[in-house]
Amino acid sequence: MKNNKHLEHEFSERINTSQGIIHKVCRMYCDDEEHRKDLFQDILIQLWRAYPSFRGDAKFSTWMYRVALNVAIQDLRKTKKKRQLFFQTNQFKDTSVEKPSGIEDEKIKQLHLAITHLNKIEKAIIMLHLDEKSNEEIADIVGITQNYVRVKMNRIKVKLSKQIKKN
Amino acid sequence: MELLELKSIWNIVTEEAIKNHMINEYEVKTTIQKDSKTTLSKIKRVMKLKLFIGSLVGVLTLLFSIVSIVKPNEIAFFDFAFSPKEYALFFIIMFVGMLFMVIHNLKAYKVLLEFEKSSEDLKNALTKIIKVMENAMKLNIYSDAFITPIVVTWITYAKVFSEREMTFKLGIIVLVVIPLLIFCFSYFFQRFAQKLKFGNYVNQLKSYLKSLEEEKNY
Repeated sequence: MKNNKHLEHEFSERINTSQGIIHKVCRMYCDDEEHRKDLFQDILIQLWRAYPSFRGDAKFSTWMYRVALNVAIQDLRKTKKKRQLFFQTNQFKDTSVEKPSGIEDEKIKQLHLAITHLNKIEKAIIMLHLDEKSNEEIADIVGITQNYVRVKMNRIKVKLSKQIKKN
Repeated sequence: MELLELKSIWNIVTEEAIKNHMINEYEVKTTIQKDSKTTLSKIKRVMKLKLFIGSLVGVLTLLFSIVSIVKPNEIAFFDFAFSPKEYALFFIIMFVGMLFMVIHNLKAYKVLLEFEKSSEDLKNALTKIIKVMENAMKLNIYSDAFITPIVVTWITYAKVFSEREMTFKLGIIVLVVIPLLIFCFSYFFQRFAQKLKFGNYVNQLKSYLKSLEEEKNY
């Protein structure tokens, strides 16, 4: 019991300093606030369940990305199209404390529109890339070779730039 | 907009999300005590319930089968339809069926628990979750396909032979044809129901896994 309390305390402390990863994953995979909250909760619960398996042979952030992305990819919830469109145009205004400038707002919208056209695996790879993870780390998290990470990244870049031009 | 620009926009968006939704240690502790809403957790809860009900029915049928052998006159319900020997046979068949179901359910449940505690890379996790989902679907199909014919056959048996003597032809119909037909119906019905419930989800996961398989000439 005491051991469990100690583990819980250790886990809470670690999450408190690294929770940015969970927020980033939720931001990448969810279109509305309600879905984001649910996914955040599911990821946190899953991290806690898997925490005893964390042996420290990988970086804590790498381990967190693995668990969080697995939950996000296996998430079954769907957002209704109409609701999705509503949030696409309003969400940034609702959640920001300091509102970004008009140009930034437009770019955020473009980023969001481009990303929605990627599948869940592509979202994971581009997110890790945007978070400046090395190809080695991306390969480790996703479970593919570094060469294939490069191939995937090139394809995603092409897809994104096409989408951005379209928008 | 270039990728570099995309990176800076992504940083703004995520910094904002972290700033606005940061939770403290107390909230972390309370959140991890809550029930998860993931598909696997829902399947796990259903499995737990099935294990409980299956074990309870298993224990009851075992008790009844022992009583019907040791003290045949103690079991008096439906005695207009079944003889003590028939009772014993019915309960033994039900017990074996339940035991089979509970053991398989327990195995699947253990695999699910192990999977939940693991932290595999995305490709391995997808391979495993597809397997877990397919096993859970198979378990639902077969447990229903085996238990329903047993129950239906014995009800039919009681109804038919409480009023008339058993003949070879009638015995074949009630004890062979009806169970086979019910088995086929339950099997295909459950297969359809499971596909309707989880088919799209499993296919989606399979398509993600396929996208991670390296092509030979890329």
